[in-house]
Amino acid sequence: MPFFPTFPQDADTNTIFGLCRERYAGWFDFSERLMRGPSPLTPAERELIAGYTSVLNACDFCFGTHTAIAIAFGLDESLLESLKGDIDRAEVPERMRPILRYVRKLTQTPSRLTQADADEVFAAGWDERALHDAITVCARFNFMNRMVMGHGIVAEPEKFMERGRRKAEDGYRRTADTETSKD
Amino acid sequence: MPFFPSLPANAGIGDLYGLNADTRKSMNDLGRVIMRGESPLTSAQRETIAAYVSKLNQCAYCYNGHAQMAVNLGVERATIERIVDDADAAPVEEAFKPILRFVKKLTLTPYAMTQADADAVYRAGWSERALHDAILVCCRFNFMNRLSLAHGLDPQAESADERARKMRYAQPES
Repeated sequence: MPFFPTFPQDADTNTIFGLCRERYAGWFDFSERLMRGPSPLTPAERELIAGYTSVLNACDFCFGTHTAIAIAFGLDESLLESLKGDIDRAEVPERMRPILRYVRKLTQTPSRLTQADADEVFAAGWDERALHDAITVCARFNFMNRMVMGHGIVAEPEKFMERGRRKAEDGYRRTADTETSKD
Repeated sequence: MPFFPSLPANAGIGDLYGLNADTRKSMNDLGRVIMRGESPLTSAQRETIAAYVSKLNQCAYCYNGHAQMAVNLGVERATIERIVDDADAAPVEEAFKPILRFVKKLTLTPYAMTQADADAVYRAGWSERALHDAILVCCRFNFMNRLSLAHGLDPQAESADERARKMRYAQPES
C-alpha cells in the first residue's frame, strides 16, 4: 500500500506528480531531453542504465518499467534479466560494461569515485559527453527510485509491459500532457 | 580536480550544464520549485534537509553550499553541525525530527522504507504535502550529490559563501 492515505492502491509516478503537477513541468522537459534527446548513448542504452540503477537500489517499480521500455526499443530480455547479477557476464555488451561499472559505484558509493574510474570509461572510447549523459541518467534514477520508494508505490508486474510500450512510444513529456488533460 | 579533462579546475555545477546545455533551464526551474516554491516546509528547513542529505552522501561540495544557504536563512551553524552528527539529539523542534529520520533512511536504505516511517511524520502533525516536499528535496540532493561527485568537482574551489551566492534557483527569475 502507498504510504499516502489519499493515494489509490495502484498509485504510480503520475499520482505523485499529480499532487502538484503544474510545478513539475521542468522535470518532464528535462527527462525527455535526457532520455530521448541527442546523445552518444542510444535511448535503449539510456534505459539500460535506468534499469541497472533501479535494480541496484532494489526499486522493483522502476526496474520493471524501464526494462520494459528497453525491450520495446529492441533489447533482449535475457540482457535485462542479467542486470540482476554480474554485469561482466556475456549477455551485457562489452561496450556498455565500463559505463555500467561507473553507474554501479555512483549509485552505491558515490563519494568513492576517482579519476581512475572515469579514465576507464574514456579508455573504452567514450567521450566526455557520453559519460556526462550516463552520470545524469544514473543520478535521475537515484532521484526517481527514492521518489517511488519514499511514497510507498507498489510494483504491479502485470502492468510493466504495457506501461513500457506506452512510455517507449509517448516519451517522458507526453505522459505528463496526457495526465494534465485528464485532470 | 574534476574527472573531465575539459572542465576547469574550479568547475562548479553550472559548468556541468555546458556539457549538455539543453537541460540547464529545466533543472533550474525544478530547483526553484522544490527549494523555494510554496510549501508547508520553510526554505530554511528545505536547505537544512539539503545539507543533511549531502553530508550523508559525503558530498562536501553540496554540503558546504547548502549549509551556508541554511545559515543565510537564519539557521544556527551549530544546529546544522549537530544535525549531521546526530539528528535525534540536535536542538531542532521535535516535529522536524521524524522528517530528518525519514530523509536519512530514504538516502541510505531507500528500499527499507515502511508505512511506519511515514506515519511518524504524520503523527508529528505534518500533511501529505509536507512529506511529499521533504521527499522531493531528498531526491533532488541524491541527484545533485551524484552529479557533483561523479564529475569530481572540487569542494574547495570556492568558498561556501560564494557558492551559496551563485545558486541560480535562489535568484530572482530572469
